Amino acid sequence: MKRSVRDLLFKSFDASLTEKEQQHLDSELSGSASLNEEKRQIERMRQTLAGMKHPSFKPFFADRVMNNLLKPGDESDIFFESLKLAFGRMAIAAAIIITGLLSYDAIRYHHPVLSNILPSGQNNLEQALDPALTYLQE
Amino acid sequence: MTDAQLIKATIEGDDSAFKKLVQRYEGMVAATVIGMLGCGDEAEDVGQETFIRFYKNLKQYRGEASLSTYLTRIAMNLSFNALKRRRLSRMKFWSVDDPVVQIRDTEDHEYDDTHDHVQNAVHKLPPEFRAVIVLRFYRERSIREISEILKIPQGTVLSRLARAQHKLRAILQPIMGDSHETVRTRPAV
Repeated sequence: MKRSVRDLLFKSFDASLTEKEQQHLDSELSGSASLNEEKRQIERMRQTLAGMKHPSFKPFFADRVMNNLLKPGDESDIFFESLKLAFGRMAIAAAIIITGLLSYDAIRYHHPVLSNILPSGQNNLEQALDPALTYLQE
Repeated sequence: MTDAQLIKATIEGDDSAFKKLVQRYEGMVAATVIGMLGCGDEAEDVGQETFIRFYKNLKQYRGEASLSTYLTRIAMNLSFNALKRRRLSRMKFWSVDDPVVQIRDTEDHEYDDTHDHVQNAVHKLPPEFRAVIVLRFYRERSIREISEILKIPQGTVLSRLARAQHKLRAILQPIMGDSHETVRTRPAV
């Protein structure tokens, strides 16, 4: 069976066909026993689908929704929420400042380098412990 | 009370008004998330999360879409996320079983067999195809509504529906083939 005819057959169940489409489908149906059988099977399947039991949740579903909605928040949630509130703004402010400084640096030197705007310090553990190591070696 | 009145009352602090909204729409949300994820704790969690998200964003709901469409959209998005998580966990732990369908123990075994076969077949579809089947057949939404919920053009909805039904038919062929003359629909309760 041609795919276009099959698509037209399916479409005829859910949407109104144009006059031309309807004529085409009718002529195909009148000339093909297999297409008629296909139509019958589709009708049967759609009938079964439409007659399916409507499932439902377990009893007292609304009560469970309300309990979930109205129960006091978990303490750990509250803790993380307050952390987010306290440091969230700080993090945004820091990001804005760093972006601003980078832009300033870019404009001034035409070569943005993060180390130019951040305080330069010792980079790794060895360098950090260097004075102490030197003292011990002496 | 209308949905708008209940929403207003909830915003003003009346939680019992929100409970009424949950009771009004829980069946609709259940059909969506259980249709997408199958019965089980995961579907229940997604159902609860749908209403919790709605509650937290209540002030942002302006009524442009109907509440039913709005809630279905949340439920559908959360179901897609749950399916993604499920796929990732299956990739990590290959032995995790897909919690598809709970077989119900009712007297109408013949109906249940067909029901379970169809339900399992729907769950074998890729999520984007499953979504259109769930919305069209379990939720009886129009093509325009499905297009609004999934935020895709109506032509795409139609083509996905056609492809989904074609795949479903291929999966169900051994069960619903030529020999299966009578199809049992939902038994009267």
